[in-house]
Amino acid sequence: MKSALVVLTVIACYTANGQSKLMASSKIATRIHAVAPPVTGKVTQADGQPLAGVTVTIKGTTTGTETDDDGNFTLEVDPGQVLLFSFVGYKNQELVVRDTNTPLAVKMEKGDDVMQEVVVSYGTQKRREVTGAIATVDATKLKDQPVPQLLNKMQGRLAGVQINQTTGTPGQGISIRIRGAASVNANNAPLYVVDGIPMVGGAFGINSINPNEVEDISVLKDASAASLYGSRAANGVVLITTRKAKAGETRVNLSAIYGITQVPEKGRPELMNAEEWVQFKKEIYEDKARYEGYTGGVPDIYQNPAAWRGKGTDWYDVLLRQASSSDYSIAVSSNKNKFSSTLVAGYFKQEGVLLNTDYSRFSLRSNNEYRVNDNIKVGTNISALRQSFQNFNTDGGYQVIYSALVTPPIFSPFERDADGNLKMSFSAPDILTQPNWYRSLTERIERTHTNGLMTNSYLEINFLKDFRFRSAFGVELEDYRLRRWRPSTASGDVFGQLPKPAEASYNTNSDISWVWENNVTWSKSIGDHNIEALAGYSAQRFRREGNQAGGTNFDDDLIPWVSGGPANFRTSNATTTQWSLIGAYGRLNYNYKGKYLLNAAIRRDGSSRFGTDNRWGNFPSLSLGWIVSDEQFASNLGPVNYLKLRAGYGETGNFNIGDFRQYAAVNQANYPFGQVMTTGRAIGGLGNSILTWETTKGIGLGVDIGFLNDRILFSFDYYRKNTEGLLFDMEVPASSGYQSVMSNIGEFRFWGYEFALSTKNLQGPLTWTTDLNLSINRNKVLKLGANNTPLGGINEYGDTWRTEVGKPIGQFWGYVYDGLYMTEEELNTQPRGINSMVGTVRWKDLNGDKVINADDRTFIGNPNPDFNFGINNSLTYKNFDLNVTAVGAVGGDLFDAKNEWLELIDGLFNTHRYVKDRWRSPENPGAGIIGRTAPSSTTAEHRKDNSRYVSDGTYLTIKNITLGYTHPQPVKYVKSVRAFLSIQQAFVFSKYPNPEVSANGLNGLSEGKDAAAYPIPRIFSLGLNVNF
Amino acid sequence: MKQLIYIFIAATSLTACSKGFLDNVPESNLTTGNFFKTESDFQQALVGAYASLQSAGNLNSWVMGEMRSDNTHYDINRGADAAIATIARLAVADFLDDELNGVTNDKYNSTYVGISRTNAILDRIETVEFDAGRKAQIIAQAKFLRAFFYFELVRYYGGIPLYIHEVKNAEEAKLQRATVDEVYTQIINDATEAADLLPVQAPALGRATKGAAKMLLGYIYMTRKDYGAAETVLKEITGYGYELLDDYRSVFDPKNKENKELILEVQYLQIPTGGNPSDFIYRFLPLTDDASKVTGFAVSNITSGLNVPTQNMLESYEPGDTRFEASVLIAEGHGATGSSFIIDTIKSPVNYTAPAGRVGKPFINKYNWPHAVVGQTNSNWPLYRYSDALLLLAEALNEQNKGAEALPYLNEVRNRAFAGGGTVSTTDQAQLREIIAHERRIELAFENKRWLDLVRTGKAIEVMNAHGIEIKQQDPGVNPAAYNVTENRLIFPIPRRERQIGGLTQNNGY
Repeated sequence: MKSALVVLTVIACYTANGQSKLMASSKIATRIHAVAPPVTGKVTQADGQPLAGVTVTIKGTTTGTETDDDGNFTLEVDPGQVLLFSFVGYKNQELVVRDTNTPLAVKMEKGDDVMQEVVVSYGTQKRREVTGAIATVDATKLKDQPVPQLLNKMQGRLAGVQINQTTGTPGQGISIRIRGAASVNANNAPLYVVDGIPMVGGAFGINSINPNEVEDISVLKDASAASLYGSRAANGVVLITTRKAKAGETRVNLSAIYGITQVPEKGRPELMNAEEWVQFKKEIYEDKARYEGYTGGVPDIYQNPAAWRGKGTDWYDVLLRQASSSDYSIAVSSNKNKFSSTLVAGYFKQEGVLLNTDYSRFSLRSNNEYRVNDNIKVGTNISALRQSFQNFNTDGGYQVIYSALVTPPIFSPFERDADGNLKMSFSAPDILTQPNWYRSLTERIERTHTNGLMTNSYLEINFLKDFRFRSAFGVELEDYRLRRWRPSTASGDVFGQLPKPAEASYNTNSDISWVWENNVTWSKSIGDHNIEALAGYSAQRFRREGNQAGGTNFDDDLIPWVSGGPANFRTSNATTTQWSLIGAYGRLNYNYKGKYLLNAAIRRDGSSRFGTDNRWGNFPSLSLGWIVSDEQFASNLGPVNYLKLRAGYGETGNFNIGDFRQYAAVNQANYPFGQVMTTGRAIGGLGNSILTWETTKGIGLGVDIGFLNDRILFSFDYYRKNTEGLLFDMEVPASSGYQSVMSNIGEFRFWGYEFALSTKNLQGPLTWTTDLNLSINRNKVLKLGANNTPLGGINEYGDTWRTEVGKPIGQFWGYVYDGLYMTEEELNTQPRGINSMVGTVRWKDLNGDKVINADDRTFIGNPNPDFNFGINNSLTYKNFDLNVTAVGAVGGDLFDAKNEWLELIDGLFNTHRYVKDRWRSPENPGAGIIGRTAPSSTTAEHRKDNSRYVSDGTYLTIKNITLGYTHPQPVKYVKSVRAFLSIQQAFVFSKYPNPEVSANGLNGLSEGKDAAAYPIPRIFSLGLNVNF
Repeated sequence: MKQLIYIFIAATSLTACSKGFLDNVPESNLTTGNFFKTESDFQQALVGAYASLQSAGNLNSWVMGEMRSDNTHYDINRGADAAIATIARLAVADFLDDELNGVTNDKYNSTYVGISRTNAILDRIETVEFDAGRKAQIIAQAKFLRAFFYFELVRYYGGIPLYIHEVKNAEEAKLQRATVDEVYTQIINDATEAADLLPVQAPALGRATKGAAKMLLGYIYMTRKDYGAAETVLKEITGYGYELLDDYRSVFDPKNKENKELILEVQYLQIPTGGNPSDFIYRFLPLTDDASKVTGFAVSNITSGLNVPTQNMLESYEPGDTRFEASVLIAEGHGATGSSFIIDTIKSPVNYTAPAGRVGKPFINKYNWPHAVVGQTNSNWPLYRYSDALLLLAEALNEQNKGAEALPYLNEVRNRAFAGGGTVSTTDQAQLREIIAHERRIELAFENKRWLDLVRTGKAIEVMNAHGIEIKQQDPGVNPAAYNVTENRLIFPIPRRERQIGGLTQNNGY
């Protein structure tokens, strides 16, 4: 800390002394000796909106001005002189002044993408000077989609960045994977950096950012772009820049979107109705009598299927509703003289399509900057947030969605008991007692609140002409609370009967994280040599304190909080965790004549998460670029007007392994002696003091080409990287007393190709642009643990994936389905297992030993797609605009784990309708797909992981269609009004109904499993956007 | 430029003072870095090792030690209750288990967890200074537990990897299988040392004693057919003050945990403040939606219907044996097997025949005691009882053809069971062998002794194949491939995961 003060002192001293020496660098000095009257004019954007802050200069001079809030300017010009209009992000315009008496009307066009400034690690760079692999999204293009999450809006827009909506849970369910990144035990989430401050997650996780606050997103895909974030950059870095007021502007923007959400009929599973199900049950008893000597007869309730005709309940439908979604936002921004300020306030609320689920968010952001003088500026960005979720365990086995699917249709949620109350649970012979899921869902509470405050204060000082010092201090505070309440009437699950005593829990986390970034930039142009050097230092600390309070065995349902439970059934457990990180970094950008580009960077990181003996790591990178089209010899490339080649190498790390993993924990293991509980302790795992980060080393090659004066822009990227020292929870024999040890043994290789094409198909009154991107990601396992023991695929039920050396990671593993043994002859002549009988399921005998057993399993599918793509089309005609965004994938398998239950032939659950046509006898063999229900000792065989659960996941989803109409200046004081209609999740074209599903997200190792997911709703919405 | 250099020096010097900044240690839990430093730490670690008895000594032992035998079977609605965990249990009962079986794998893994806890104590305790006498007591208990755990493993799985030191890293985690003899040598060393050091009187109920260690040795010698050695240690137990209670059933009464017949039990505790309750009876009940007639609670439990006394077991009780009703009851009711079975009344099994239209379902009564909270009982699981010692001693004597010496021990047990009667007088070795085996089956019914006794006495293949024929007649739903009992099936398979990761060989036939 003392040393930090030294730094500050050094700088402070320097600034004070150097003040007088510093150049007064005001670029715009108005000339006063004019002859003719000044020319006036108005600068607007293509859509007629005034553009403030445009620099207007007389060509060949330094004389000029800036446009005001309404886009107006006044400048003394001699006729015949040329005015140059320039503004960041727009093409320069030149205009010859003929007559100074006529006001000029200037329309600025959006500039070429290659001229745009791109946000990079610790700064910005012109797109043409970028040498790493960076994909960007202009967030203003995302504004119409009525979804709460930024990532959701980014779907399909970035080459090399796969984003799936794996479940429709309000406010959640978006998963991202950059360049196929995967780790076995560390997570593969990218690092998010907001306005230069690396986020630690929590309340300010990416999903909680109000997209309306965001101006710009850069995704640093390769190590050469991301290595300045060192030990955290291996999964890619997402840089988010929030809205700042443009120079000279004062703007008020109101936006409101209201939508209706619903679950499309298409894609819902086709299950048995009540009559079919009762018939199914009846047949089970008949077959039991026939094959097992059962004599109990068919229970009364199943005697007469026909009596159920037209009756019964579609449980899935009972739990769904049509819901609403609304998004309101106000943004005020002003940038005048020495002060700029932007305020964005938003409220978003989405009701879930499942009853009693919702998500809402209040957010407020205030970005302020004060320019003390030309050389010193200070600023503070403050963001406050409150989120509320009501969100049950909806997804996965035995959770709400699954249960809704499998609950027998003979029960009705609105059935009443003798006291006139809705029934709490249902039972019938030989099924599991099912709670009334309608009551479970509507009466339980499972609400999360998060409150967050993020501040980012900075000081920037220009000194010594070419130097700039920047110090930024960021703080993230989060308060998280999850309250659960399960009344006695609604706490049931498929294994228990009600009433069950009520229970409540209340979990809180309080997080604080701070980060201090200090760096110095030196930029200088010497002749044709342009140099920018950066050196910096960063320290960060995160600390969480949490408490889990719980109460069970409540006497009654009167108090829905932990306090309502009996004192001796209340528990509380307060814990804490923390980590800290120190990094020093440096970068050199050099270019010669702007066409030979070099970028070298290095970061040295130390992290508390790693072993005391292996704590520090270096992460260097080097990348080169060559703008070929600037060469003399390339002046005649035909339609090609721009051609850049890029190449880079870099190393990055992954530190997402959790805290304190180097230590072997000593956990409680109590035991009673007599009537006394005695405190016991036991080692909970193996420690590893040499544990360190995973390092990803890789090269990237790229080419950017512009055709026909940038009407067509094309980029191609190739990457190849190895992740070494995989953080790997290496399995050890359980006989050691432990299951695994976290270690750095393992290596994956990733490689891929990315294509991005951006075309202006039509210009003129009707404009049409298309952005297309396509990514091919491949991977292979090179080393796993000490002995290359494959991961997964040991058990026969629900052990769905196997990762094995020499193969792509995370492939599906199981038996190969081969129909049923249809006849006695088939059974006797073909390989069989211990449960095989005529009419039971048959697996392929893959090892040819004539016996079917666990050794006959193999890879049965690969969840990694052949390629992913996204297409975005924008059309404008006069005041109308139309935007269509589509995403998709070709190849890539999905594993329908729901089938284990929805094809259950034991009669416990409702099932797929086709289970009707199962094998019952040689005379009545059914469709040859589903086997016999008796003898019951054979039925479990049907549920083993097998190839019939695997489907092709190829899909195309029209994510969003928006049609808008803009009315410029409808009344005084209103600059423009835009109204639009939008459909989110408009159409899904696929073989599998829910192609983006993945119960474990996009983690690489266990992707593509459908274990019953919250349905992704379609949202119809209407929006209004007013600018003042 | 000079200034820039200053800044750089200043910035990098920050790194120098960073050591403390990065040294974060867990505050809200312990690690091996700050544990095992004091006597109290070792006392706690020892409690942790005892805690493993609940999983290693009991959890799945009733499946492998009892359902595997002719004492119990299961009575479930096979299709409707075919949870994976249930299927695994049925497979053990039916001799259809394989190396993926969750029950046998759990037993293997959790027993080794117990072993690793004892190894950590034994490896670390020498270097920590504290009272030598108390240190010796910790060592003795740890060695007793390690011997106990290995004895479980070697009987159920054959020769297994023999870890006698704490595993501290991945390299040390991998050991190949030792021979059965090697394992026994280690067990006998540990148990003998423990027996020498442990006190006769336990300092607290549930702690290992001299009696428990001698009992363990007795079993080891009996299993090794070293009857003379067994006789010696078992005889010593008779001098430690244990005695049979007058009432057989009261031995298992959770209100009577501190009784003189118990040598060692797996401890459980149901108290309002949480404790560590047991729930065996909930597995052993007949499947029903409403078990209130038995437990007092109207709840269903789909994992019931297990460890159900077989017809063969019920028939093996002699008339007048008071242990019958103490060990077994009949739930009489109507309706199909499964959750729709409705219990009408609870009956004694003595001379029971179901009335017309009613079904009588037997269930284990030993652990069926009133309890206050649903699913939470206060019952311990007996490991060693004095009557077990007496019968084992009688067997050791008879195997040495000292039938006359054996009789008093045998009759002490029988006289209690038959209210003073039931005296056996034959000294014919073969007859007496049958009588003692039968007596052990009845006296120790449902205490996880039967399967291991059958294996130990070489009877398992004969008895279980015959029993399989009976079961298939009574339960046509049993897989035709079941009950093919061969030499290979006398031990269980090494888990597939252990073979895959540790490269272990598999037992024959799996």
